[in-house]
Amino acid sequence: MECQTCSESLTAVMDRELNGDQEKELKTHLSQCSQCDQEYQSLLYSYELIDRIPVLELNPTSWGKIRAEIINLPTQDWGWIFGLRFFSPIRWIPVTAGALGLVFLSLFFLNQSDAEKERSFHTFLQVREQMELQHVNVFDESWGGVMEPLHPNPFALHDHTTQGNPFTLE
Amino acid sequence: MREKRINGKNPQTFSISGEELDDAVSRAKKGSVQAFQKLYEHYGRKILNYIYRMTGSREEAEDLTQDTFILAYTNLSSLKENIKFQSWLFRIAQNNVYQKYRGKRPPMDSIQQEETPELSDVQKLATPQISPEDRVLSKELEQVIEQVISQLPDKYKEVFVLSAIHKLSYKEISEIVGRSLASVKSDIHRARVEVRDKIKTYLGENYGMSNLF
Ligand SMILES: [Zn+2]
Repeated sequence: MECQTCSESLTAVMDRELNGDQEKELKTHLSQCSQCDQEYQSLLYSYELIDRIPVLELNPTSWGKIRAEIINLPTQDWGWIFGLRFFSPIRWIPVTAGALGLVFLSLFFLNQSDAEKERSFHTFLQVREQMELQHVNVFDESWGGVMEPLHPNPFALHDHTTQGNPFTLE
Repeated sequence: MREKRINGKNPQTFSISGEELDDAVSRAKKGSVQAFQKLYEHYGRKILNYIYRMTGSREEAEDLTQDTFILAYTNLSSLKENIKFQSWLFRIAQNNVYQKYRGKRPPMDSIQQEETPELSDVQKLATPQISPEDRVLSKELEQVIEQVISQLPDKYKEVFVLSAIHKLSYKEISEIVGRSLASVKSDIHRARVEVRDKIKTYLGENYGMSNLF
C-alpha cells in the first residue's frame, strides 16, 4: 500500500468504513510506516476531542408543541386511497358530462324521421345563408363601419380598379 | 440552559431495533401519535443537534426541529421503506435548514456567544484530578472545536456533522446529502483533516496531550 492511499483511508478506517481485507492491509502498512502511523495517531486524537464536545438536550416542552400541531391532523394512512384516486368521481366529472352530451345529441338526430332530417338540414342551410348575407351587406351605423364579408375573395381588390397582368411586359 | 455534556459519545438516545422502528413508523403512518412520540424521543435529539451545528443557534434549532417533525408526521405516507426513517428525517431537516437560509449562510453567532457555565458539583467530584487551569482550557477548547466545525464550508460541514457527531454510515450520509459514496468519503476526509489542522494550530505543542480531557 502506498502512503498516499493509506493516508486518504485513515478517516474511513476510523469510521469503520473499510472491509476486513482493506483494514488489515492498512493496519499492516501502519505497523511498517512511522509517518503514516503518526498521521493516524494525530487524526485519532482529533476524533477523541470531537467526541467530547457537548450536545444539546431536547427542550422538555418541545414534544407538547409538536403534539398540539399534529393531534388535530387527519389520520395518516391514506396510501391505499391514493391508489384509488384514478377512479375518483371528481376526476371523471368532465369526461362523464361530455360523453352524456354526445349521447343526447345523437339521440336527438336519430329520433327524427328522414323528412324531418331533410327539413332540419334545409332550415340549417337557410339560416346559415341568411347569416352570411347579413355579414356581407349589413351596414351597421351603431357599430361604426362596414363589416367585411365572411369569406372575402382574396383575388379581388378593394378599390375595384383593373390590374395589369404582372407576368406580361408593359 | 447549557447543553448537557456526554463524555465519549455524541447524540445518543435509547436504542431502537429495526423491528421496533418498522413497527413505530407503521403505527405512526396509521395516525398513532404515541408511536410518533417514540420516534421523536429516539431521533429528536439527533435532529436538534444536527440543525444546531448547521445553524449555530439553539433557538433556531428548536424551531426547525419542531417543523421537521411536524412535516415528517404529515408526510409519513410518502416514506416507502420504514427502516429508512432516519435518513428521510435528516433529509427533511437539511431541506428545512437550506430553505430557511436560502442564499445566505446561517448566522454562526450563538455557539461562541453562549456563556461558559460553572461546573456542577457532580462534575467537580467526577474530575478531581484536573487542575483549574486545565478545566478552563478544556472549556475553551470545546468552544474552539465548535467554532472550527461551524466555520467549515456547508458542503463539508453537513457530512462532517452527520459522520463525526451523529456516527451515521457513509452510505446513509450519501443518501441524505444526495452525493456519491466516493464524494462523501472524500469530503469527510477533507473535513476531518481541516478540523484536525485547525485544532492543532490552536493547541500547538499541547496537541496530543491526554490531560486536555
Ligand atoms: Zn506510509
